[in-house]
Amino acid sequence: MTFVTVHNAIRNRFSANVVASSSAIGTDDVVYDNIGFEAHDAGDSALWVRFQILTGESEVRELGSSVARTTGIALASVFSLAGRGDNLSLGLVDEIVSAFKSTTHTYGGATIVFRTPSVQHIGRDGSWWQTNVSIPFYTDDA
Amino acid sequence: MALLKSNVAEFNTKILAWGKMHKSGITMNTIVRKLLLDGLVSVTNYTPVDTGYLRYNWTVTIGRPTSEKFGTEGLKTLTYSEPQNLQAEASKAPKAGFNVHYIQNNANYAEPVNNGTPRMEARQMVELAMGDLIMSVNETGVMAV
Repeated sequence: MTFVTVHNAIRNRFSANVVASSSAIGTDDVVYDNIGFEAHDAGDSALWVRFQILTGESEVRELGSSVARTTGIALASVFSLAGRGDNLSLGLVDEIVSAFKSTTHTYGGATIVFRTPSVQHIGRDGSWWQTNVSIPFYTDDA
Repeated sequence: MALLKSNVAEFNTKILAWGKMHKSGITMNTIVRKLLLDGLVSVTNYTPVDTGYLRYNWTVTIGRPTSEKFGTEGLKTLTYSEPQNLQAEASKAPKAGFNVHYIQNNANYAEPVNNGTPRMEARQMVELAMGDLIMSVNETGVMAV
């Protein structure tokens, strides 16, 4: 397991189980870490998502072993146009929650265990209404 | 055989000592205090630094949150005595029993930094620190999450 495989596995879960199946957003409506800023600066979508992966601490799990556990947060920030209500964004939020809730996902050699996501209305900023879906996860380095 | 008897006796002594410590509540209080300090250290370390004002404003309170801000101009750094004050506050945990414990930040831009905005990525320092605490709790065997 490497951090590349971990990040790719988490993004794969989001891409395959949310973006590919959702009627609310397309691939152009997702901003991943360090890619895709320009499209949404112009505000050309009614709904877009910033998907971030933030890794936290890594610790050795057992004495005499090199197995390490890394925890982190996968954060989907859903932005919908202000003044249009929250049905559109909450519909997408529900799709994200159901894709990640208490799920184990294996992809490219990494196994990620997702815990229960939390949903929080952050509120309005400029022309966007923001709702965060915070998904805690951990993965063990085999 | 003699060695085995000795080992069993030592094991019994340690189990009894652990039981007494556990019964008196010291174990739980020690764990609460450790978690508070671990949480404070963890969330402080995850906090990004520009002037240091945001990182400076993390504190621990017991029973109720405080409205106090610790840096006035955003240019001040922790003085020698202030980290000790934070530790002293956290060390009140045993006396406070099972009150609510707060790890908080009163910088007015703490929430946008933590949660993000349309133009700025979120840092999620609180959620990451919580993840560390859950891992610590699991390792102490207090509860399964």
